[in-house]
Amino acid sequence: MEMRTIIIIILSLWLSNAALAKAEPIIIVNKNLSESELDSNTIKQIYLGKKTKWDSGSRIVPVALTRGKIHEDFVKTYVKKDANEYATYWKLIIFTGQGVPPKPMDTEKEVVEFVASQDGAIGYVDSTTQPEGVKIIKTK
Amino acid sequence: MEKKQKILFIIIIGLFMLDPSGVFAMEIENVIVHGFVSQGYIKTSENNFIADSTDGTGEFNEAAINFSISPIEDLRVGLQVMSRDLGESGNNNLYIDWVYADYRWKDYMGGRVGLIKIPIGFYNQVREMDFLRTSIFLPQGIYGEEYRSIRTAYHGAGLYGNVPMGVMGDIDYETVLGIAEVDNTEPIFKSMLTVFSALYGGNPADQSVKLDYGFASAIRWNTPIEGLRLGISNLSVKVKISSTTSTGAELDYIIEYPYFYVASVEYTWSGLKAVAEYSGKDVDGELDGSTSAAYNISIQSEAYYGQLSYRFLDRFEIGTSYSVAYLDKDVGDDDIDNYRKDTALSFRWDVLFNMMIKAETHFIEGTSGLLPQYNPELEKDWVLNAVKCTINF
Repeated sequence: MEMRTIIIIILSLWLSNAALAKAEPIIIVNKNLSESELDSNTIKQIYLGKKTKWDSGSRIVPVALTRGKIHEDFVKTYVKKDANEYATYWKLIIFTGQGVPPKPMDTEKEVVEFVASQDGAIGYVDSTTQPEGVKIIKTK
Repeated sequence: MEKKQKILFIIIIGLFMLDPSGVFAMEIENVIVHGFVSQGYIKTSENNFIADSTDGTGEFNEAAINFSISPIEDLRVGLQVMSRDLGESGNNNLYIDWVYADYRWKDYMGGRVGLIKIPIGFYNQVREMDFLRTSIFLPQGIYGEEYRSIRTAYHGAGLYGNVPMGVMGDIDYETVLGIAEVDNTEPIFKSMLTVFSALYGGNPADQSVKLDYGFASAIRWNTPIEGLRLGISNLSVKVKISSTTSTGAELDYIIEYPYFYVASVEYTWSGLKAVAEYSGKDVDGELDGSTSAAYNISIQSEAYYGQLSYRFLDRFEIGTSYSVAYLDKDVGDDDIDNYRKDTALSFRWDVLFNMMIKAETHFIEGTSGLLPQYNPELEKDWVLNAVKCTINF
């Protein structure tokens, strides 16, 4: 194999990994919610179970992916924990009866479908996804 | 193993097998179910640590299953059934670990009623759940195994909440007021009643220990420095030992903790966790109705530790800690029964997402907290080794 071919293959692999590393989570909410913007601390408080009501007083229904790069990037960016720390945090809450974790979803498709159909729901998906039937939230 | 405990183990293993990949929750008809089971082995070089550990013992296990449901908005009802064994403590009897109704009408205030775990230090509420930490054992000076009956959960009520403080982070607070069932067959209370009987006569079997009340409160500050949290917690209790003496007189001996406070700090960064806690405790005892000070005791105890752990390659954790405990801080190191200094090394391997194996060694000087019924003679320096496997879902 020519050296040029090898370099192209290596560069392609590196660029695809870089692209994966840059997958960014976007926040989606049910269309009926009035919020169009949330600060990152509010998102953190929601996903730690400390904020349970929207400003309107209605219940927040968070959903979370069970695994994967988008889940890891989301908890790192917004909750400021790695995936293992986040799982441990919720196990502590669960085994002392102090709360219930976000509703688990295996795929981004399931996240979008649930958020679209459930009042008060909030979730996250890859920025390359084009979720339909939900509102994309700006974060500050 | 009793039949009920076998059934509990089978249920937990079965539910784990249904979903070994690990999800946040298992839902069965809107009821959320979680559980864990662990089995360990302890061997000490000298001295028996609760169990008959100098010969090595597998009487070291826990299992639990919990259920939670939200029948109406803002109300949640949950229950955890548990079984544990540590030598003569627990003996795999099934019991309710916690059960309560939780109503959260505001994020800054909610209420609980039932059997509620009490917040002392950062880790009392999760002391049985070693899958939440690197080490097998928590530092014994603050989280002594022998006092579980009066420091785990109370029948009563409590308030809790989270208060945001803007740029200063947020505060979690929690209070619990209640009473506790005390199992008089627990080794520490058997020991206590034996001593009482020796002092005042009477048959230990006719005596009882009761917790008249306990009040626990905790404040945790999640600071604006990412990964840093500080906490202060306190427990006040009143314990009554009731006895009928050999002459037929009825006596009550009252033991109170006016305070048992724990100051805590924890910092987590990129797989590294550093924890330090300091506790002070005042223990007062007096014979109820007596004007003589001959029966009075007043002891100030002290305990503290520092702990470091590090997670690497996403599956392994190593940790080390140094802890010190003084039963009576005025006596200090003068009596080996009065203190315990413990250097521990821990290793954890997450074999699967929800299954782990741990190994731990403690190099210990001092024998404070070891029960006399298991230790007719005590050695100052001793080593404790333990291994444990836990699965959870």
